[in-house]
Order: sequence, then structure tokens, then C-alpha cells
Amino acid sequence: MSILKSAILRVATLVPVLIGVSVAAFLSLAMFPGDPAEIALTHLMETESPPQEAVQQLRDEMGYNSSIAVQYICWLKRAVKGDLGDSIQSGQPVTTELRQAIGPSMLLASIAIILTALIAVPLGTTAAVNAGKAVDKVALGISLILSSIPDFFLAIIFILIFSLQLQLLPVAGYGNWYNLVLPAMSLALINSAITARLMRTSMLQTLRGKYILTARAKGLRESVVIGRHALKNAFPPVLHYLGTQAGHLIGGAVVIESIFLWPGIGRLLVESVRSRDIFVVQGCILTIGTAYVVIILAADLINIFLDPRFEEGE
Amino acid sequence: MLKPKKISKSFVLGLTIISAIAIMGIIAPQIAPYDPVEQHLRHRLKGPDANFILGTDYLGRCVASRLLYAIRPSIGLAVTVTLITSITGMSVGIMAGCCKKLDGLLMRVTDCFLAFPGIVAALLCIAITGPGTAGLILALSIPGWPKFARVARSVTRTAMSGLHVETVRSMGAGRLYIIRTCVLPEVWPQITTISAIGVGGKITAIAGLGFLGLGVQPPAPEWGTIMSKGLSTLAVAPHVPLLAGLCIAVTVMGFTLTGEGLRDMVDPHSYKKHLSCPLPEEI
Repeated sequence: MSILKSAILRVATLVPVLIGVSVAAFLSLAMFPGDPAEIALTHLMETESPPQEAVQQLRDEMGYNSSIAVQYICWLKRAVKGDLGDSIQSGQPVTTELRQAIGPSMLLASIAIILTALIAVPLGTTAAVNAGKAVDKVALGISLILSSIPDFFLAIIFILIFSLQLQLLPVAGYGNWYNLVLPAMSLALINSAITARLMRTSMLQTLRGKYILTARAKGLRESVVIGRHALKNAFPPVLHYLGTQAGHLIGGAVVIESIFLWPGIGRLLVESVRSRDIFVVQGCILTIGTAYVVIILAADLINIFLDPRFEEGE
Repeated sequence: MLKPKKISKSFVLGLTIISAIAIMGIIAPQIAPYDPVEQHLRHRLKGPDANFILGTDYLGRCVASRLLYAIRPSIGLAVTVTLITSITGMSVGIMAGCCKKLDGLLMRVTDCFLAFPGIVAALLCIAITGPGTAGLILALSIPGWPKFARVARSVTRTAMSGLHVETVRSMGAGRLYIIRTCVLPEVWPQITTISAIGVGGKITAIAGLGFLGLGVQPPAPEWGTIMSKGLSTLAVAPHVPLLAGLCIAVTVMGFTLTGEGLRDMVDPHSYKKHLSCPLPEEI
């Protein structure tokens, strides 16, 4: 019962954020220099100066002549129906472009996050178990260096080593599993720096628990104490952080997607900002914000079910 | 305010790195061997040699001079943006922490800002304002402040619940007086710490936007732009992007070390807690 209650509470707190995301996307269009109706018509009629009557008519239809609140409602209604306008660059509906981009982005983000967890959890745990010793200091040093390097610098180093020197992997592209290796590794290594530190801190705090002393007193092997008892309690904060990271990787991996020509939503955003294709920019903002909210929610729900502290009812 | 018992080593190291880089940036015109935008087309993509100590780029410009001049926009913009965001965030956070009525609204607004990765919000601002220095400052300031607001709010709330605040209030002190004497001294060290670490993040963001061609506009030298231009000639002249990346990494590390050192000094308890193994008697 209490699990259900906290889950519902969590969903409820995200509703205002979702509304905020839609307002942000709407305002980006409202604040954009130029008249959206004219921009749309210029593209639609393929003329430099569309007739004023047509512009006026479209403004009426799209609700741009009324107050900003009414405009927002009109825009939201159209957005919910899946009508976000057409891309000026390609002429395709924005929703089609977004649908093509969200898949690759989600693939890259999920692989990168899985790799991050695979690197950070063992590293952080090892550092915590050997706190103060040489292993710990080396791990902290690596984490400091990795957290100072921008992900695109690591990407360039990887391209130089694996693509140009060793010729093992292609420089850029999309479609095969080996195209995924370099972008995912660049993102994962940089993200795992902070994640490993968090894992270490969380593990250190858990290891102070009395039940760890009990487990050791029972004569359990150290691997069981750490792996089964401690990890269960140390992991939830890290999972929450990983969720935030995953949310930020959808659309946030802009530079990496651009370097590796990965057809994700981050690259779509950059291309549309460069060409000032406002309808696509707006669609990207809406998608990225929503994706973040959904992923955070999913991570928190998993956390609620995983965290043993929820089992006892409170 | 800051009364550390012990100066942390990483603080000294970080501060040394930052000062060295900042001084090099300030005296760049005196120490740079060439004009950063002067092209030597006969010496394109040269490796380091006697004439050009760090080689030349695809237009034959001296890499060492360009890297030196690039310190200015990177550190200058990053520090400006951090000042703007920390002061804004601190004000919002203290307001939310002191005023229960505003708290819910301000924190929901903060949540909305946190729903976008920093670079996405920055790109959105640049889409509206167009690339340029003013656009860049705005683009980095808008996504930056919520983090400060969060921290300032939680510290303010803890400070406000203290008994000393109750005492001062019962003696008839006004809200502003309480904020000045009881809240600010608590908030200030925390904000300084995350600001110092935050400058590093801003330098990365400036370089990232420069890399995408949406930050500092060429031909002005900037680390991110130097890297992206060097990417196409990576096979012939790998030193250009690698050196630029190294500059970013060292500068960011300087700020991170300073920030972490500051944190250890401001809050020595957390430092010990993180580093040491739990003692048996503590359990």
C-alpha cells in the first residue's frame, strides 16, 4: 500500500514539471523573432513574401491574434494531436523527424548508461571497501581526471586511437553495432567519473550500518556482505543519479552525436538551431523535456520497488 | 565566514593552476609568439618546430598563440556567467527558504529548468538570440541558476530553523536583518564551493558550444572552435585538437580542485567522513 502511495505521489509531483516543459517549448516559439504564420507560409507557398490576407487567415486559424494564454491553449491542443508544424529545412512534419531521431538517441543513451553502471558500480564499491588505501586514491584520481575532460575531447582521443591508428572502428556513422562503441564509451567513461564517486560515498555510508556488523559477525564471507547486504542499500541513490544522467543523455549528448554523425535528437536540435528552423527546435525541446520527466519517473519507480527500506511499510 | 583550520592541498594546487592560466591569459599579447589570427599559408598543419613551438593549424596560424589568446574568452565568460548564476540562484534560494508562500512556486519553476540538460537550454537561447557573446552569456546563465537555488534553499531552511534565529526574531529583528546575520554566513561558503566547481562546467559548456559553431565566433580564438576545426585534419595534424582539449581539461581540473579543496576546508567533517574508513567504535 505504501509503495503504491509513494509511487502515485511521485507521479503527481512531475505534473507541474510537464506543464513547465510545454510552456518552455511554447515560449520558445512565441519569443522567436519573426511571425510563425509567415514563416510557415513562406515555406508552404514557396515564395519570399506570402500574401498578407493568407498570413492573416493563418494567424486567425492558429490563434496568434488572441492573448498569449489562448495561444498557448491552441498550441497545446495542436501539439497533443501531434501537429507541431513542418520543418522548414526538409518540409517533413516535425513529428516525423522527431520519431526518426528519438530511436537512435534512446539506443545511445541506454547503452551509455548501462556501461556507466558497469564501470562505476564496481569501481565505486572497490574504492569504498578499500577506503584510504592506494586503490582508493588511484580510483579517486582517475575520477578527478575523467570529470575534468569534456566528453568530446575523449571522443577525439578515441577516434585518433581506435579509428585512425588501429583502424578497428569506423570514425562515424549509424546502423551497425560497431558504430555505437565509440560514442557510447565516450559518454559512459565521462559519466562514470561522478557516478563512481557517488557509489563510493553511498557505499561508505552503508558500510557504517549496524546490520553490516551483524552480517560480518554471523561469519558471512566479505563478498556476500558487500554484494548482497550492502549493495542493496547503497545502490538506490546511485540509481536515482543514473536516471538523471539517462534523462540528460536524451538530447543532451549534443556534441557527441554531432561528432559521430549519430542521427539522434541532439544532432537534430543543433542542425535546427543552426538553420533557425524554429518548429523543429520547439519539437526537440518538447521531446527532450518530456523524455527527461518520463525517465526520472521510471528511475524513481524502480527505486521505490528496489529499495528494501520500503518493504516494511514505512 | 571562511575560517579553515587547515589549508587543503588540493585548494592550493587548484589555485596555482588557475592563477598560472589566468596570468598567461592576461599577458598573452606579450608572450604569444605570433598574432593569433595571422595566417602563414606556406606553413600549414606543421608539427611543433623551432618557428612554431606548438605547430600550426589548417590556415597556418600559430597554435600556441591561439591557445594563449583563447584563455581570455573561456575564463572571462565562465567567471562572468558563474557570478550571474550564483547571485541569481542564491537570491531565489534564500527567498524560497525564508518565505513559505513563495517556496512551492519557486521550487516548481526550478524543477522545470532542471528538466533540460544545460546545453539544450543554451541551444534554445541561442536559437532565439543568435550566436554572439551576449547570447552566449544569456544561454549559459539561464540553465545555470537552479542548482544554486536548490542548495541555497536547503541551507537557508536549516539555518532558519535554528534556535538563534528564533531568539533574534523574538528580540524584534526584521527579516532582512535575519538573512544578513544568520542566513548569509551559512549560505555563502556553500555557494562559493559549488561556484568554483561550476566555473569548470561552464568552461566545458563554452567549449562545447564553440565546438558546435554556436559559441564564440571565428576567427576569434576559442578552445572549442580550435578543436572542431582541427577535427577534420585529425589524421594529419592531431596536435591541434589534442592541445586544445588538454587546455580545457587542465583549466577545468584547476577549478575542480579549488572547489573540492574549498569544500574540505569549509566542511572538514564531510571530508573526513568521505575519506576515512568507518572506525569500529563508531559502529
